[in-house]
Amino acid sequence: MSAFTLTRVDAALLCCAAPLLSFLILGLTPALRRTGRIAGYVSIAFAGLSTLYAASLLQGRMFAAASPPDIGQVGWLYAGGKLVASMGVQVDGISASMLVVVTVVALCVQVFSLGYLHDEPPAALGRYYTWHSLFLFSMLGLVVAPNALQLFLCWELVGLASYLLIGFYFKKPSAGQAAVKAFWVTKFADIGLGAGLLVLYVFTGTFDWSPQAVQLLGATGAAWTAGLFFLAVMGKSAQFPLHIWLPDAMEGPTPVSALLHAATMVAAGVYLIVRTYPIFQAAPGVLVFMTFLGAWTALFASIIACSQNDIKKVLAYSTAAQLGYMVSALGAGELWPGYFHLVTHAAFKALLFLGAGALIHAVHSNNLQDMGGLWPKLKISGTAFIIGAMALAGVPGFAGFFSKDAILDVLLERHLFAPWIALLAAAGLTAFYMTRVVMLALFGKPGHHTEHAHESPPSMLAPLVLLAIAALTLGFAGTSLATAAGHEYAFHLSTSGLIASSLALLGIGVGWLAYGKNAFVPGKIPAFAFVQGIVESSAVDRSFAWSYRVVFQGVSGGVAWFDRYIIDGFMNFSAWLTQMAGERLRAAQTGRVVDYLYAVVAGLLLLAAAGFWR
Amino acid sequence: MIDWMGSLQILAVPLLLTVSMLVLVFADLLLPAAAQPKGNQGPLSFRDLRKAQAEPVPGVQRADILGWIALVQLALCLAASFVAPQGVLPGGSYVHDAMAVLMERVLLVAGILAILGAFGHVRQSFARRQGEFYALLQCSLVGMTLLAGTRDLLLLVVAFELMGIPLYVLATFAKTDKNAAGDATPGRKSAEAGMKFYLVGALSSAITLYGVSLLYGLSGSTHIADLARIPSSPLLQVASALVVAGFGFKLGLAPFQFWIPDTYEGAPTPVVSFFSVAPKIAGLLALTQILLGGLLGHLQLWLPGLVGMSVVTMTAGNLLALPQLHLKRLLANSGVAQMGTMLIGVFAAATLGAKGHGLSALLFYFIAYLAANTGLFLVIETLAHDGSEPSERDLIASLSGLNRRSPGLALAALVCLLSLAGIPFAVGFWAKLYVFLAAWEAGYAWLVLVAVGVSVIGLFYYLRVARSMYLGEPRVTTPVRSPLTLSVAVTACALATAGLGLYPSVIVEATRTAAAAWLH
Amino acid sequence: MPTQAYLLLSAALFCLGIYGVLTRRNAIGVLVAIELMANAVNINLVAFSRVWGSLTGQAFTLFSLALTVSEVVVGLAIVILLYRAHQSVLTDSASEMKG
Repeated sequence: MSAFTLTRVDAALLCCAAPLLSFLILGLTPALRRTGRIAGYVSIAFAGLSTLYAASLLQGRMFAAASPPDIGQVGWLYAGGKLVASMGVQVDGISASMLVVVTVVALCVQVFSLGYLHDEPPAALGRYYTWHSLFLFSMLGLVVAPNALQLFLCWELVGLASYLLIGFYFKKPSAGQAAVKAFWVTKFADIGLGAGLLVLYVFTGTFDWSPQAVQLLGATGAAWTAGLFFLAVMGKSAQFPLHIWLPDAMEGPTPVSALLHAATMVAAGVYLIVRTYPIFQAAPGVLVFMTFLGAWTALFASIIACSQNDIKKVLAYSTAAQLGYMVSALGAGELWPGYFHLVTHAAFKALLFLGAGALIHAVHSNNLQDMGGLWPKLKISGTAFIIGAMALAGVPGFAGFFSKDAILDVLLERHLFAPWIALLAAAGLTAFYMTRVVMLALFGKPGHHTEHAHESPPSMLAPLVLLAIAALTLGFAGTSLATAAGHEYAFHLSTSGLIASSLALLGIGVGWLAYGKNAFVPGKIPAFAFVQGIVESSAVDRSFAWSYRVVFQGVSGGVAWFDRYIIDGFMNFSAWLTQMAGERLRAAQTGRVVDYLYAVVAGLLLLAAAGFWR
Repeated sequence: MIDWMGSLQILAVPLLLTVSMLVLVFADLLLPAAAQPKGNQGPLSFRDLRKAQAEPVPGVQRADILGWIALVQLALCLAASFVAPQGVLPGGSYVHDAMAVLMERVLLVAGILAILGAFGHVRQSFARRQGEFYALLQCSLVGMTLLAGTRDLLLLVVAFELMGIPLYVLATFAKTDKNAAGDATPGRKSAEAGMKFYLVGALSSAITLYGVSLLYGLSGSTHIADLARIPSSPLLQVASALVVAGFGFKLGLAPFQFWIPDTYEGAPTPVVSFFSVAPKIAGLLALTQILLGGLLGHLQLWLPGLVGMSVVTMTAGNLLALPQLHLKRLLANSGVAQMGTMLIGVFAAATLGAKGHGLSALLFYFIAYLAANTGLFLVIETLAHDGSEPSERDLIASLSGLNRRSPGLALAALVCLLSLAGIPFAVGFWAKLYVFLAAWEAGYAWLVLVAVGVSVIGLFYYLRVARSMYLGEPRVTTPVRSPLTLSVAVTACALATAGLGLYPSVIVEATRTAAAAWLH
Repeated sequence: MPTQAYLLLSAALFCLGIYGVLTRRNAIGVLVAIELMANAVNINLVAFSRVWGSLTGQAFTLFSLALTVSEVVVGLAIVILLYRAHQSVLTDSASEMKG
C-alpha cells in the first residue's frame, strides 16, 4: 500500500470535485472560456479524471460488495443545536455504478461536442463547456447524496444547468420557448419534491432514507412522501402527462439531448426512486400507481414514436417509453430490474442520440425524409446507430434485451398482467419504430442531402464506438453489477423473455417489410392507419397543447388572478401603510443633533420607567 | 507572587495590538516623507496644510507602506490569537476563554477587511495622515479585543472608551471635500457627521459611567460577578437603565439610533465598513457581560425594557430604511434593525442560559453580519472610488445596471444583500434562523413572530437594490475599476457569506464551544 | 456628612448636566455640560469609595478623569473642524444630513 492510497470516500469526493473545479476555472477566467476549444479540453480533462475515479470506485465496490456503504459526511445544517442534515457522499454499488454511467456518458458527450459544435463561435462553445461542467458536478452530487436534502439541492442545480444547456441556441426563439417550458413543467413537479422533503422532515426530523426514518414515517408519512416524490419523478423522468416538455427540449444541441434527455438528467427521477426505495416500499399504493402509469407511458409514447418524422423526436418519445419501463418495474416492488434498465438504457440511448447527432451533422437536418441512403457514406456511425437501435429494440444478446427481460419477468412474477401486456406491446412497437428509423435514415432511396454527406471526424466517432461496445456488452455485465449493488441476478431465458424477443423480431420484420422492402404501406392497414391517423392529425399534440394551456396556464391564470386582486391588494395596502409609516418616521430624523440628544434622554427615562411601571 | 509572564501571554493580543499601534506611530514619524510640498520650509499654516492635503501625493511607496505594515501587524495579532493561552488574569479582571478568542479573531478580521478596503481611499483622500489613520484603527481594536474578555467594570469602561474615542476621530477623518471644480473645501459632511457622533456619544458615555458608578456603589466591587450580590432596589433599577441606555447608543438601539444614518453618510466609507460592525459586536458583548454575567439575577429589572427596545428598534430600523435612496443611509437603518434582531439572542440566553442556544446563535449572527455588512459597504466604496458613475455618490442609483458593468461585483453585492435579507442558503438566513429558534425555545414566540413580520419589510428594500443592479440601465458602460486590495476584501466577504451559507457548520461548532465556555 | 448628601449632590450635578446638554445651542456649551455629568460620576465614585472603605473607587476616579479628558480633547478638535466647515459652533448650523 502506498502512502497515496485513497479511501473510497476520498475518491468519490474527488470524482465530484473535478467538474466543480473545471466549472470554477472556466467560470472565473473569461479569457480561457472565450477560447472555446481550449475551454473544451479543460472540461474534458476534468471529466476524464472524474471518470477514472468513478471507475476505480466501481471496481473497489465490486470486490467489497458485502461491506456496508462507504459513507463520508460532515455535519452541515444545525438548528437549535441539533444536526438536521449532513453533507457528503454515500458510495455503494448503486451509486458507484451510476457514477460510472454518468461520467462515461458525460465524457463521451463532451468529446463528441468538440466535433459537433465546431462551427459555433468560441465564446459560445466556452459557455457550453462551462455549463457542462456545472451539470456534471450537480449530477454527481445528486448521485452520491447521502440524504434527501443534498439530493434536492443537486436536483435543482441539475435543473438549472439543463435549462441553460437546452437554451444554448438562445437566439432561436423555439429553443428559448422549449427551455422555458421544460423549466416550468419540471419546476411544477419539483414542488412535489420540496413538499415531500417537508413531510419527511416533519415526520422524522431528518432528511435520511434510513430504515429508522422509514419506521418513523409510518404508513401515512411514507405514502405522502413517496407520492409527493413521485410527482417530481413524473416531471423529471417525463412520465405521462408531464412528459410534454421532453419532445420540445429536443431544440437543444443533440449532444445535450444525449446527455440530459437520455442518459442522466431524466434518469435522475428514476434514480430518486432507487435511492429512496425504502420509503417507496412502505407505500404500496404509490407503487401500484407507478406500475400502471409507467406501463401506460411506455405504451403511449411508443405508439406516438411510430409516426414521428423528426429523428430526435422519435428518440425523445422512446426515452419517455423506456423510463416508463423503469418506473413500472420499480413499482412492481423489485429494485434491481428497473435500475439495471436505467444503466443499459443510458448506454444505448446516449449512443442513439450521438449517432443521430452524427446523421444530423452529415445532412444538416433532423428530418427522416431528408436522410435516406446514408449507410454507404457513414459506415461507422451507421453501424453504431444500428447497434444502438438493436439494443433498444431488445434483440437477444444486446444490452436492452437483458434488462427488459428482467423487467418483464418481475412483472409476470408479481402477476401484474395488464402492465405486462402493455410493456410487451411496447417492446414490439419499439422494434418496429426503430427499424423504421434505421430503414428511412440509412437505407432506401437517398434524400437530397445525402450526396454531400460525409463521415464524422474522429472526435465524434470515438465516443460512438465506445458506447457501441457498451451497448453490446453491458447486458453480460449484469450479474457482476448486481453483485456489486448487493442484489442477485442471473440471466435465464424466461417466458416473458421469449415472448418479448419474438415480438421484437416480429416488429423488426414488419418494419423491414414496410420500410425496407416497401412490401406494404403501413397507412393502408386499418388498425395502423387508425392509430397513425390520430397521431398525425396532431390530435395528440393539440390535446397536450390544450392540457398545457388549461392545466398550467389555467391554474397559473387563476393563481395570477388571486395574486393580483387578493394578495396584491393586501400587499399593496400593507406596503403603502409601511411606506407611509417610514416616511412619517423619517420626519423624526431632523438632522439637528439637539433632537437626537433629546431622544437619548427620553429613551433613558422610558427605560427607567419600564422597570418601575411593571 | 504574580505570574507576570503568564499574564502577559493571556493578554497577548491586546498587548501586541498596542505595541503595533506604537510602532505604527513611530514608523509614521521616522519614515521619510516621500513628497514634501514644493518650497515649503518652516511650520505650515492651516491654509498651507489644507492645500497640501488636497494635492495628490506622488509618493506611492510611502502611501502604501504604512498600510501594509498595519496589515501585517493585524495578521500577526491574528496568528497570536492562535498561540495565546487561555486563562484568567490574576485578580480576575480579564478572562481569555474560548469566547474571547473567537471574538478576538472576528474583530481582527474586521480590522483587516477595513484596512484592505481603505488602501485606495487613504491614498486618494488623506495620504499624509495615513499613519494616524491606521494607528487609530488599531487603538480602537485594542479596546474591542479587551471587551471580549473583560470581567471587571473598570476594565470594561476603559476598554469601551478606548474603542470609542478613536472612532470619533476616524469619522471626521475626511477633513476636506472636493467641490465641483475639484478644489478642496472644508469637509462639511464629515464635520457634521463627527459632531453628531461625538455629542450623542459623549452624552451616552457620561450616562454609562454614571450607571457604572452606581453599580460600583451598590456592590462595593468592580467585579462584574459581584453585581449578582446586590439586593434589588429602585437604585439598581436606575443604574441598570443608565447602563443599558448608554450602551444603546453604541449599539444603535432606538431611540438612541438617530446619529447612525447621518454619521454613516458623512464618514469615509471604509471607516463606516469598520464601525458599522466591529464596535457593535464588541458593544453587544460588553452589554452581555454586564447583563448576563452580573445582573442575571435581576432579570425583571432590565429585560422588559430591553425587549421593548428590541421591538422598537427592529420596527423603526426597517421602516426608516424603506424610503431611503442613499445607500449608506439605507444600510445604516437596516443595520439598526439587525441589531434589534441580535438582541433577541441575548434574551434567549438570559432566559435559558446554558440550556439554550441563545448565546451561540448571537455569536453566529456576529460573524454573518460581519461578512455581509462589511462586504456591502466595501462595494459602495468600490463604486465611489471608481467615480465614473455620474450620479451623486453612494445613491442606490449609482448601482444601476452594475451587473452589466461588473458582473462579479454585482454578484458579490447580491450575495451580501441576500444574506442581510435572510434568504435561504446565505449565511444571514442561518443567523436569523438560529436566533429565532433559540428565542422560540426560550418562550419568546411572539417576539419571533414580530421579528419575522418586520423583517419582511427588509426584503423590499434589499431587493430594490438588487433589482437596480440587475434590471437597471447602466449610465456608464465601463467596468468598475477597483484597487486590488479592495477587490480582495469584497471577494473575501462575498465568499464567506456564500460559503458559510452553504456550509454553516464550520462556525456553528466554534460558536457553540465559545458560548459553552462563557456560560460554563 | 452622610453619604446621601454626596449622592444627592452628584445626582443634582448630573441632572444639571443633562439640562445643559439639552438647552445649549453652542457645541462648546454642550461639551461643558457633559463635563458636569462626568464630574457627577467622579463625586459618586469617591463617595462610594468612602462608603466601602476601599481605594478602588478612587482609582476608578483617576481612570474616569483620564477618559473624560481624552474625550474632551477629541471633542474640541471636532468643534474646530465644525467651525472651519460651517463658520459657526452652533450645533444647529450643521444639519444638512437628515431623513
